[in-house]
Amino acid sequence: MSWRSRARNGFGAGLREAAATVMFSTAILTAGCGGGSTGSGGAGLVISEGIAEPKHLVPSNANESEGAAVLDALFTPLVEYDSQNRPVELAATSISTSDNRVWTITLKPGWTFHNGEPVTADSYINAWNAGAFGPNAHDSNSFFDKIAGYPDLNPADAKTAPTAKKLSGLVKKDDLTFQVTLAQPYVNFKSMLGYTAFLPLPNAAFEDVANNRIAASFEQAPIGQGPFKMKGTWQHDQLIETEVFANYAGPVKPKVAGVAFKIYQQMPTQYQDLLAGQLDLVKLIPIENMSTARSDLGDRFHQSPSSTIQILAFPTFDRRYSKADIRKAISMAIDRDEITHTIFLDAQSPLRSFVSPIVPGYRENTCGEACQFNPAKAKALFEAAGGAAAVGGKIEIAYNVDGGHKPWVDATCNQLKRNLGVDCVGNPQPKFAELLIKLKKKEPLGAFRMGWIFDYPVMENYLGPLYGTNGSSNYYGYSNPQFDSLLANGDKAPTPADSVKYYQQAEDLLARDLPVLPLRYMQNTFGHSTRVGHVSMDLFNRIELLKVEPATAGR
Amino acid sequence: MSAYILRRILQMVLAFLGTTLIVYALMFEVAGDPLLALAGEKPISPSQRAQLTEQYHLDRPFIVQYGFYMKGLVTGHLGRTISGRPIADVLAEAWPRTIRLALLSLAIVIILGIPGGVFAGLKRGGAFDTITLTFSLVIIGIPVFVLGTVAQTVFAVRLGWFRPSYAPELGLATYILPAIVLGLLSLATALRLTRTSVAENLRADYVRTASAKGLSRTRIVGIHVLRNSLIPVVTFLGTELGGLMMGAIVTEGIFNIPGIGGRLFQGIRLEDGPLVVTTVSILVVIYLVTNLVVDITYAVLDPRIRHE
Repeated sequence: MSWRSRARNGFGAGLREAAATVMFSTAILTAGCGGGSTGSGGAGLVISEGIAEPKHLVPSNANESEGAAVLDALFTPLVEYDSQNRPVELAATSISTSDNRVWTITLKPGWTFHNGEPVTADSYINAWNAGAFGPNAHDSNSFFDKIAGYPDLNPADAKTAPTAKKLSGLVKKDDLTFQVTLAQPYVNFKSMLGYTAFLPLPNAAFEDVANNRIAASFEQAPIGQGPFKMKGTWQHDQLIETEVFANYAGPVKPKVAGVAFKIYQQMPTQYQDLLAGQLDLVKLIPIENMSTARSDLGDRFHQSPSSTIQILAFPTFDRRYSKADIRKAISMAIDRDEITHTIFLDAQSPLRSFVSPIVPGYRENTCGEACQFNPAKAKALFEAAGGAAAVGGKIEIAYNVDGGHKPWVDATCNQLKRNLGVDCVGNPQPKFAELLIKLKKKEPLGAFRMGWIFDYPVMENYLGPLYGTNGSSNYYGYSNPQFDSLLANGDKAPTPADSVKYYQQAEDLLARDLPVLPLRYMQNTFGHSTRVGHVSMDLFNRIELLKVEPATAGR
Repeated sequence: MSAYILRRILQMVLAFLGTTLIVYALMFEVAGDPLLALAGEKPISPSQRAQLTEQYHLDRPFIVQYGFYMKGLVTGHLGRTISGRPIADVLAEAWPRTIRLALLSLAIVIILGIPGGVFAGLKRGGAFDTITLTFSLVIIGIPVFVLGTVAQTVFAVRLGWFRPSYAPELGLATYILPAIVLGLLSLATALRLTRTSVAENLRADYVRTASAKGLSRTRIVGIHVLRNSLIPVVTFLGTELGGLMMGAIVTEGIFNIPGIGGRLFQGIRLEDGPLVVTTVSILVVIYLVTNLVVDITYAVLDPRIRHE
């Protein structure tokens, strides 16, 4: 960092003037382009957004943020979310159920894909079947596991053929209506439908609909029913260009002429391009630039809470941390505010509950006393529970070195050393995958870090996968029958509001048992150029492209 | 001479096979679970795991996997990256960019380094010599990622002379700043090397003889001294082309050039054996070819060196 501040002090005012000149000339150029192409102010503006190379651009195969950002421009989901993050119909007129098991989805009429094909019930049924079909090995395959018939499409052994090619739970009623039958009642199914995996596909996407085969070339130029359509094909590692889709049937029309997704290898380069006026939207300002970003960007710097949380987990097979009081003492000895402020420069915020603040049902500080920084009490509790001898002389915190976790793990260890009087070391692992392999073999790693991004805005999505006895990401082995039954009751509850009551009771159990310690939740830290305004982020850490407007003249 | 070249090419085939085997073995040892690496921190469904394991033969022993890879290589199918793109396509797109960057860099080194070194060697202890010495020491002392980021911040972001990142619409111009950054270290070395070599040769007996014969100073320096001084420099430049391509891994990252460096980095991160092995093997071939070219150039520069 020091060379950077040196460069800044050394060059000073003269350069700032030069930079201003550059910006000024860029502004003139942009205005010229906008006026020339459409004649109506800034409506001709094509904006650029920085992303990394997506893995895939097929909706049910795009389970990472970069592909999802592009698909969000090309497709429109069945539901959007209101100010309380509850689902509201968008591409559908109604999504209704009487028993939370059989859901009837009626589509809005008049929607077409970019190639002119009408959007019908089949567009959804075909896309979901392909996503759920085991041999396709799509990344979001497991999102369909709640729908009846899923096991028939997903044999445990890859060498045996699935016994069915279509989900028995998907039934077409008429051109615009289809019925989804779930294996078990699930009250929050509607909340799931805003996720990328549940987007429709046109017939043009398929090589063979009957066998769920999507054409390999489709993702080079995906055809959706969203506000923007592809302009040319996916230029790998460089650029994905889109332009406004004139026949877009959604209620809100784009205010820009197109979005160019510029593909970057490293985040700092995105930020440099933003400063140089070569890029309009940066959805994550890298931590390296956080110290100067607020002053560099001024009112073009934004933050909003995100769904990503960071926790510290304790494997249940590791006897050293089996006493709840030991875990509680560790938690109380961690000064979360100091770490988020000094290490993360407020790009993350302290978390004292087990779910992110952006899901309905979130309550502040459910973790209670255990997450309040109280070094004196922590030390007393730690000594009473056996002290340093109980944890084998030292506390270990395992982390993956490729995620930039070393600084905060070291800081946490220093706090534990200071406040509990016990030795503490970080236990670096090359990758998170390696950490998981060691956990599976029950190797004593110590406590380990973990992050979680929700898939859809429901409390259950933080609880079931992470703490349910059969949870897909319950790597530490927490198992509590009472917790499982509360979750099951929540899933079966008559309305989402009722389900939240059960989920909250389940969360209270976590506060008592402390299988993990909540540490922080992420802030979306994003910035934009002087060319655009009204930049905001949605629940899924994506820039809301439909809201972005060209900046008003005179800025 | 042609027998010599043929022998060298046969050696190259052997070296190529050896490298693929060693790199493949290393990747196999390092890779814990490529599927988990691919999924990141998200869980991977059992049926997806089963499918991908089957597709990429991940459950087979090392030698069988290597066999599949070599079979593909021989029949012209380089296979797919672990995210599904044909490796041949990925490399065909990436290589020209890296080669352009490395060659431009090498050109900068030659154009600035050799005349600069000759000049500094002729005027030893002069102002130019002192300045280039200081410059070289400073450059050699700074890691390339610092150099790259500073150059990007100053010349692209603040002064606006260049774009901070790769812009294909600018053609070759988009490679200029990255090429300078990439070439600076080699430039510093080339300058020092040429300078020392020239300074040494100026004191050689044949120069005195030439002067005594009454040859002009231009001819002495331009023909006799330069030709003899270039031998170590050519060796250095030849091996440096390979070095530049590998150095490009850092530079390409900073300036977002979608070349071979980025692919290699991605491959290592995702434990993508076939992608890494193919990329590294091609790097090795380039190294071998440039070395061959250097050896042949020796004979041209110094007729006393003959290859049997």
